[in-house]
Amino acid sequence: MKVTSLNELPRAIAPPTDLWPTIAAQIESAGRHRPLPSRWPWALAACVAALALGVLLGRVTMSVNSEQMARGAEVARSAFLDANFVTERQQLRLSATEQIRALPAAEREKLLQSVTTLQKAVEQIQSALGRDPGNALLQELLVNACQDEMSHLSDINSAVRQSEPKSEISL
Amino acid sequence: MKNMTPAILLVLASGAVAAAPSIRVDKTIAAQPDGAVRIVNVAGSIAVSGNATKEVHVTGMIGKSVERVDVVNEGGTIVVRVVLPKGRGSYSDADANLTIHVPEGSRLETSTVSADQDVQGIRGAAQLSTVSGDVDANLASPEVQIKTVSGDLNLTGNGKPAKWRVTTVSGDVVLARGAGSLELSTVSGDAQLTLDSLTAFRARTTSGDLQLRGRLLKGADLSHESVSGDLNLAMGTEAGLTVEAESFSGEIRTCFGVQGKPVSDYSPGEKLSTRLGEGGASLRIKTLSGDVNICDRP
Repeated sequence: MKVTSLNELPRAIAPPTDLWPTIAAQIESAGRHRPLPSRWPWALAACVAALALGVLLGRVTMSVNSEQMARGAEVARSAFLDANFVTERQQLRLSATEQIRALPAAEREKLLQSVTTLQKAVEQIQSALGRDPGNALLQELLVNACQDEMSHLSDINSAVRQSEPKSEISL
Repeated sequence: MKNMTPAILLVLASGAVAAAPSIRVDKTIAAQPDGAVRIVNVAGSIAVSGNATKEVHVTGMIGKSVERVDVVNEGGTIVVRVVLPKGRGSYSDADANLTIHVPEGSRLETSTVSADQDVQGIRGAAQLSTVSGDVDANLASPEVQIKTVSGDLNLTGNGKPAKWRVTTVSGDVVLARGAGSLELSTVSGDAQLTLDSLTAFRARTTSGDLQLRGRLLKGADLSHESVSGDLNLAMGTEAGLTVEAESFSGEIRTCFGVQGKPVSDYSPGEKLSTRLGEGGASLRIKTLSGDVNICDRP
């Protein structure tokens, strides 16, 4: 079957592995330990759903031929992260970067590198998933990397913002 | 040029005078032997020392920009708080360098921004957090929670079981004489950990490398996950070890003759599933591109 559009795919197909119970448990666990923006776990859940769609798309495409597989992998790569999640993450990243710029130069440099590291980590996994969409290890790493990125960005935001004089910090 | 020298010296000298801490602090308040102590500082340093005492004693020097240092009892918690004037846009000239003696059984909580922390001799639970300050701590606490953004951590336990929880973004972590359980999360910070007797370990790193040394007790449960960070584990075991390791593109090596096997002919990944002795401790590793080295000898 040649797939040329996302609309040609069925709208409701269960993913090969039900990741949600683990994700839900981890989100709940993370939520108990640190104050996080309320919306991003939902965006993360949407990310997982999009990940499942991406895996499905990748598998369907892999059954056609190598050229279409390569094209499908590119489509899958962009489909791994839900649009809402990407928007939330972008806002959080911009906010964190803005907060970091207020710090002394040495700290600023270290933290900006860390933000870049987090971003590149997710991109590396996405890229690998684009080549091997059905890889369970990569799926798990992507979800955890997304979760870690949001968590650390939230920590940076919270710590630096609350570190302004006359405030107590809460990491 | 010669004529300019006195003027330059004068400017430098006046700057030095303005920047120098100039106000002395010396305050004491009664405290419970096992009560809670909270310390909040922005810039400078805090040196906290646990002693056989029934009071909290604060001494040190504060910058001219510091409004005051509060040492108060807030609902049973002794709070040492460096207060800065409202509306300050920066804290570059607001150093407070404080030495604080507290009862050794205190439950300690610290919060600093760029202030370094030196914590010694605390036996109660310790919760230390800093944005960019470094932390040097020698603790006998049953429960330790440390969070930093970019500050480095130099930690020493007392070799007795404790519950450690460490979170850092870019700061490096060194832990010596740890024991019990450890939960570690880091982005780019590297970690060198020595745990005399480990019962549980959970680590997530992005690019930070991890070195783990020490001894695994029977029933110990370890998990490590990284994106590109390497893991180098060398730990003796009380009752053997079960290993489940998988790397998408990194290498898996051991010192006991078993190596990672390719996952398939079409991908670079390796997988290792093996059991040493009774398999009494469990180690699970997942990484994207990190290399893994495992040895059952410290």
